[in-house]
Amino acid sequence: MFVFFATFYTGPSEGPADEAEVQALIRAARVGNDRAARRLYALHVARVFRAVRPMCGSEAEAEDVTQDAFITVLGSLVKYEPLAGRPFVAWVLTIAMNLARKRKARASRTEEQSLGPSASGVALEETDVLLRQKLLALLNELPERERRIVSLRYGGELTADEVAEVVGVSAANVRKICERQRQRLLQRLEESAP
Amino acid sequence: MTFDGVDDERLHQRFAAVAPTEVQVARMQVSVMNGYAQRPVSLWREWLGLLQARPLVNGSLVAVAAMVLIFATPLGALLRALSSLPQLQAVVSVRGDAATTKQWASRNGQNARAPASYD
Repeated sequence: MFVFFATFYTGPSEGPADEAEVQALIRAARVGNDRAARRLYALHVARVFRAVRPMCGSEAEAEDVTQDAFITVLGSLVKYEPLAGRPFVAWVLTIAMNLARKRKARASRTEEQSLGPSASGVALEETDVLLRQKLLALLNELPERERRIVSLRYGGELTADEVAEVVGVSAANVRKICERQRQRLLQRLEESAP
Repeated sequence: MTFDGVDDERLHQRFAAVAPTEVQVARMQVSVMNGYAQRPVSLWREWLGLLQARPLVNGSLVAVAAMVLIFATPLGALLRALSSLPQLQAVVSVRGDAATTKQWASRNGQNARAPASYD
């Protein structure tokens, strides 16, 4: 009976959502509610893309990884088990990061870094393009594990504890890496600012 | 918010530069929703989807289809046969006992003594 009513999910279609609403969306999307699936995607796509982008060689690759991650996530919601203190987005980001790593292992990383208007399909402000270019170049200099940690922390907006669980290192180590890299990145970004 | 320090917040704001554009979000959404629609779905969920789409019309059609299946195919006869199975078993066991006695008698001659159980 629950399953039948879950297919009629009629929650809000815009705005932020707390974890309880996300869990309701997951239950509805599990039984085939398109609207709930679309909302789950809309809620998390930006965080996933921001976390995945520094791990990929180009915008197109990041798009592919993000969309593949969401297809995998929405297709295997039945396997998802909510854990206390671990939000749904952490599970999504784990899948996305694994896909990015597999893709990188398959094809050697290209140095393309295509960041112009043709990459995104929309003309960005010149300063935005420069900032994006600079940030990606700086992140590219980091060792892979540290890049993953910084991306998950600041792009994926996970807490240090959640990042530690996704990456498989201690939370103290994550905090130490984030503190060191944060100072370095901010300093280098401000040096290059016009 | 997961960021407690000022520098934390500043770096998080810088990461907005690598956020996807609206065009990218829309493009990915098309592929994601296509993938979601094509995921393997169990048969009962497809039936559930039919009922969800038009509850009254499809519910009535499902009911009519079930009646036709039961009354106009051998399935109905099979169900009736299964429902009368206990009676059938009782008849078979009685007839089976009689046949066994008859066989025993013909094999051992009319005058032979029946086993103790048949006395």
